[in-house]
Amino acid sequence: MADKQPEYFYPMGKLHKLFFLSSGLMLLAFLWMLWQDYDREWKYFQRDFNQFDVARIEKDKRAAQDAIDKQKLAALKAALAEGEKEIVKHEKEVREIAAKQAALLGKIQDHTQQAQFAKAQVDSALFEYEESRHHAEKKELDAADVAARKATLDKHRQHMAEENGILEPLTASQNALAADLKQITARRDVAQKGLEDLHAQVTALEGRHARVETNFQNTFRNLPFFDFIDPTIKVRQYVLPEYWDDYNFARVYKVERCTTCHLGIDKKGWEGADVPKVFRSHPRLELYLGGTSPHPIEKFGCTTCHDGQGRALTFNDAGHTPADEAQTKEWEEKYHWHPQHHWDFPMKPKAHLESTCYKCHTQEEEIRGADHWNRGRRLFERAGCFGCHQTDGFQHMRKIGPDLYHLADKVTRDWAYQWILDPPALRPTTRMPKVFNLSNTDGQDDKNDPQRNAVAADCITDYLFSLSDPMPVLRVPPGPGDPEKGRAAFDRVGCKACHLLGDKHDTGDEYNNFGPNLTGIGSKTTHKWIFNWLKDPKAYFAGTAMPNLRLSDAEATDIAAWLMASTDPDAPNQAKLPEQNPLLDELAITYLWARLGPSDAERELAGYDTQKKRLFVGERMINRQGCFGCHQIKGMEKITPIGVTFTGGGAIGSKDIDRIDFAFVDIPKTRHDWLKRKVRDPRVYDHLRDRTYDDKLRMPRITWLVDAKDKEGKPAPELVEDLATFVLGFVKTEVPSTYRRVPDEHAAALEAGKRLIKLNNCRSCHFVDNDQRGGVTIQTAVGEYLAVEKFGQPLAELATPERTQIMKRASVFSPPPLNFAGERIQPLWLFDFLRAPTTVRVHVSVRMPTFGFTEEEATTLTKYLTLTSKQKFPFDPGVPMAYHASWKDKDGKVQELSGAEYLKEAKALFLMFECAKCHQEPKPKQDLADLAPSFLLSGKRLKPDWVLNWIKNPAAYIKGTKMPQFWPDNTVEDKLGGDADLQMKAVRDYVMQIDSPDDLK
Amino acid sequence: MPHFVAEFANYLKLFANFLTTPWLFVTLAIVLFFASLKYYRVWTRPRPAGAIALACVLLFLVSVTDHNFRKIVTQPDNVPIMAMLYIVGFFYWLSLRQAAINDERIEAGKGPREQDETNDRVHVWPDLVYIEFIAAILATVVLTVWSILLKAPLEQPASLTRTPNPSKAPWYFLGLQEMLVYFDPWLAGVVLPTLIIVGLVAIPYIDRNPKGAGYYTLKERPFAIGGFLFGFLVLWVLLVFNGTILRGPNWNFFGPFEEWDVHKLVPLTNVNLSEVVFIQWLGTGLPKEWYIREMPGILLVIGYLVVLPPILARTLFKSMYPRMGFLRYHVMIMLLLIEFSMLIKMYLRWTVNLKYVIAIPEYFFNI
Repeated sequence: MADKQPEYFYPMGKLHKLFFLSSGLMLLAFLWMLWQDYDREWKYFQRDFNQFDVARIEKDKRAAQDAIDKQKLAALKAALAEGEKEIVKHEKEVREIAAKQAALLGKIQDHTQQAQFAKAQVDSALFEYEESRHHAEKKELDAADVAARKATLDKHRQHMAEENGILEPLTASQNALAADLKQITARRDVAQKGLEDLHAQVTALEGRHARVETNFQNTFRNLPFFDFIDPTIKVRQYVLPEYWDDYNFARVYKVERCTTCHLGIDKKGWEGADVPKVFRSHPRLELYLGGTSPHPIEKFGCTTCHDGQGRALTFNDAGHTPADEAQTKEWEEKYHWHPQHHWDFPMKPKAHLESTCYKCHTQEEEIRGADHWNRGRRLFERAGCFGCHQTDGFQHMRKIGPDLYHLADKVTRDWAYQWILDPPALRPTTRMPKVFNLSNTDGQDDKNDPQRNAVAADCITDYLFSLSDPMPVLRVPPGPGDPEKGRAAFDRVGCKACHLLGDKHDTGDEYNNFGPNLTGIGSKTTHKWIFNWLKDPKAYFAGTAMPNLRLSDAEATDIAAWLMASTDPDAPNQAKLPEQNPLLDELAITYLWARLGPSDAERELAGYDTQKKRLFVGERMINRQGCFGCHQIKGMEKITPIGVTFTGGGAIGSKDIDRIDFAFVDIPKTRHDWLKRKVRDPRVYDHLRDRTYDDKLRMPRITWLVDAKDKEGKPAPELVEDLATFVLGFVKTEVPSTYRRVPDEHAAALEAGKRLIKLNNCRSCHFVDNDQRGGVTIQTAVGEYLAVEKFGQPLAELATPERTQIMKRASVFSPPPLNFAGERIQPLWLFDFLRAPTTVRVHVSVRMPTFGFTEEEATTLTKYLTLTSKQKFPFDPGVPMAYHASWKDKDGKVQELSGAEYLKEAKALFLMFECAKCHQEPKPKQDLADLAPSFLLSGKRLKPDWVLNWIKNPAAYIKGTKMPQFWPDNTVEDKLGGDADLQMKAVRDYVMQIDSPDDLK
Repeated sequence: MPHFVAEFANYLKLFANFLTTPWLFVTLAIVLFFASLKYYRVWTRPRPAGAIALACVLLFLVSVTDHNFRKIVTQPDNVPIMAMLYIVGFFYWLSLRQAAINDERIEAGKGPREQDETNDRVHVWPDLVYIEFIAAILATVVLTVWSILLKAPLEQPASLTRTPNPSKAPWYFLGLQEMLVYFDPWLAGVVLPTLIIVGLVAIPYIDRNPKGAGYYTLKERPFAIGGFLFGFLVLWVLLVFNGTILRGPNWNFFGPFEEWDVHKLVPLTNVNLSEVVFIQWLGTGLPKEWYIREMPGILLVIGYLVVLPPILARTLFKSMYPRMGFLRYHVMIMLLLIEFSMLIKMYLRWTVNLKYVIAIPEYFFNI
């Protein structure tokens, strides 16, 4: 059986075919895998970018070529030809030099190598020798070994010296030859250099072109598999040196690959509509990414501010967030965009981008350039969100509502009830939010809810009135007051800087709605209360921002009379509910039940009379609604506010999306959409929920904010957007200390000052640190009464020229600008003035109120005003005043005056220029607008350097000031040698020492 | 889609959701399983089997038109499970079909088909290694293409404070995870898996019956094959299916066409056996001492594990006991009883909300 073929169970032919087929499939699968690995979304962006760049470079190159000076080019070319000729002339010498150079080169290279090797031998021998000495010291080697090593070292050293000795003359002759050659080629070299310089821009562009164009080399470098060597299309990334991504179990330094697609983002020159969006430069390179900006890309990357996933390389993984629905649609079509569930912090949409600033800029009142955030912060403070939501950095803010300790002295019960039930109905612009009859208690869920609301408001009113203590001192006004006089005083002393009166819907400008709109106040309170309030606001409400205007009794009673004349037809007369109300029992039992359990609650309630029930329900309702978040209520000062804490662990900006209750509201599942919806309709997440009255959501609706309208009466949703931007800034993320912005002492002083200026509404009256809005409000208010006084017409109805005239006049009667206050005014005087203002310009009726600043606050403000005027704090000693002048007369002789003689001459000048004509007490028939502050104050009040500068050029400080500029045009010939500078100084010196009215004559 | 069609589809979905109510679904599956064994010669014939296969494919195609179902089955990690269901179905059919043919042949005295192919030994190369090699290549191709088409899902950074909801084990562990619902971790996570492995290892020692070795048959080994398949199909594959398709957020049961709503709440009204006995039946309240309180449960467990085997040996397994001998019988019966206890516990949970038969929280001991 020698020829027996092996017999197999399976037919081999079939198996071979199967094997061939499966191997083929495997090859295909493998190739497919390679392609999948190679074919990446970002590569298309880079190819597009290169294409776009090539086109741009070609255009730039053409422009650069066109820009080359043709004449210069021709001249250089001619020079080059000349140079070449010169070389040809010396052809023989050139050839000789070249031959010698070639001969030398071999030798030099040989000996250079020898010298290097010798040096290596020396280094090694040196180590051995030193090592042997160490061992010898430890008695491990004897002296002979050390000596042997020393000998070796010396041998190598000698060899190295020999080699260097050979090399040196060789190099010298090489240099000599080069110098000889250079003499011959000098002209050509210069021409060549010139040509290169001329083409430098073109050459640079060609270099760039070579990197991005599609040529064989670049294509090869980017081929699959070969692209591991040195591709031109590759991932571009920044690894941030100190900032990390927090992966819960590990912190990993941020890797920012955004620039893989956003290729132009950190470069200038990629602006403009023709550049595809993805390649455009950052719109604010001076602030972000640029090398000299405060946020360079190497340190901050992109996701530090934008959020999103820096490591991601696809559009979706990066966590792009569309700005609006249109963009969502566009992206869905273009990139198959979908919300990024797998990254906790997708990019912030454009509207809320600035929220991330707060991560690092936690100690700033205003962040430069972050306008939305800044406005959001102002709104946050104005709305008093921190009252119910504890927020780091806002713990020491005063509650935004007035104290309710003496409520019964201030308002009527009917008014209070109506007010609690629906504040915006009485005053649409009020900061008091609406608590009752919102979307979950307006009767749609339960028809009894409006009734419950009424009962609750009624009980709260009762409770608050029961707590109200009478004011310790409540003076009886000296008389009923004259409303017309009151009106004049109201218009003139400065009330209008913070208050509006006349139209209860008026929202005013940013400053005159600082205090409440006073329209209808006559229906709210009493003449007596207003009188007392005006005389001393802090007696009623210690924390009030309302300053004391130092009104006389007559003024106060007149103004009170004028205010009482403004009544509100919507205000209620009789609002108390019927005594018996089943819903009162229901509410009472609800709260008793929670405390005592069902049967005890019933028993307890049976023992209550109606009044006790009302007080009980009122107290519980105040606790439920958290009224003490904004008001000081007796006995409730220390209760924890009712809202969630905004900062720390539960920070809203980093709250897990799946822990946010979207209930049955169909909105995108994002933090910002949830938050904005919540602010717009605070009870919306009760929609379709079946909850009892006590279980319902209770955040109030901030109507002035949510229903805000712009000047044209259109809704202004951006207020809520900006508020959301600010609130979203609260995150629990930890930021490396090197990234956090900690203001230095100077900056901190500025922040503290800014804060006080904001809290006291200073900008309503004063122009401060170049904020254009400052001081406009009061000037307009002054202009209003001046217009009526002069033309008998309201300011708004005047024609432009008259209007301009009035406003110019108004500026004279308005508070001074403070942008150079620190340069002008001595800090000590300023400090005293802030603490207890005195009259500087007797003719001006608007008066600086007494704010009751503490020493610390006054210091802060003084420091702020001094620092913003670029002055040193506490003071800049400057040049001491010396009553002395010396000059050369016509004959060149030196003349001198000092002491009393000098002052005499100075006084003569002072009288000559009639300074006291304006700087004096008003006289009958004199136009008040011509008056200026009295000289009696100057010495203590003004800084001498400033006075001199002021005399030199008043318009440099106040445009359109009435102070004339006398020098140099009116320089007096025969005083102080006719020297303008000396004369100005003399007048200044005289003015600064005036201390009695006699000095003025 | 016309309105009435949508309406009808909706009713169908509701019906399907109803069918997947756990107790009903598992009961149906068990009934179906035993029916498939009983009538294996009928349904495995090409025509009925083809019709069933077609029906299964159609069922799937119709089902994926539903948003929720599609969302579940297109999860990259759920795709293999769906594939597994069909692959298991195919091989189940294949083996039973072969068994049916063989059994008919054996009845006709012809011996199994495998005997016709060869009775001789075959070569390792190429008859074994060559086809293994080809199979390995094809498996590589499938895995490569699979990994290209279904990218491995990378989710958000893990966080201790926020685990995924539902948190699911890898698909091959879903059966174990399902057991965790009914048993304490020490049982479901330690004892039962160990017994599964020990049981599988023990099979050759328990089962020394040479019948069915090297060829397909059902008639010759109904108890052995049925017992194994019951454990594999009903207590493993079915639980994997449940864990994948029916277990949603908060580990609640959802119908295959029901929206996975995170907020769905199911009343938690489970009671221990002691509570049933002392509170519901005797009305005396729970005794203070745990050993009195848990006595009914302890007795029940002892009865089930100690008293039942000898009884079964004299009744149900009367013919088998003498053949197997004391030791092998008891090892087998233990494994079998524990396997069934799983099912019993599940039913008790679904029907009477039984939490634990024995609950001794004092010693962290619950069964």
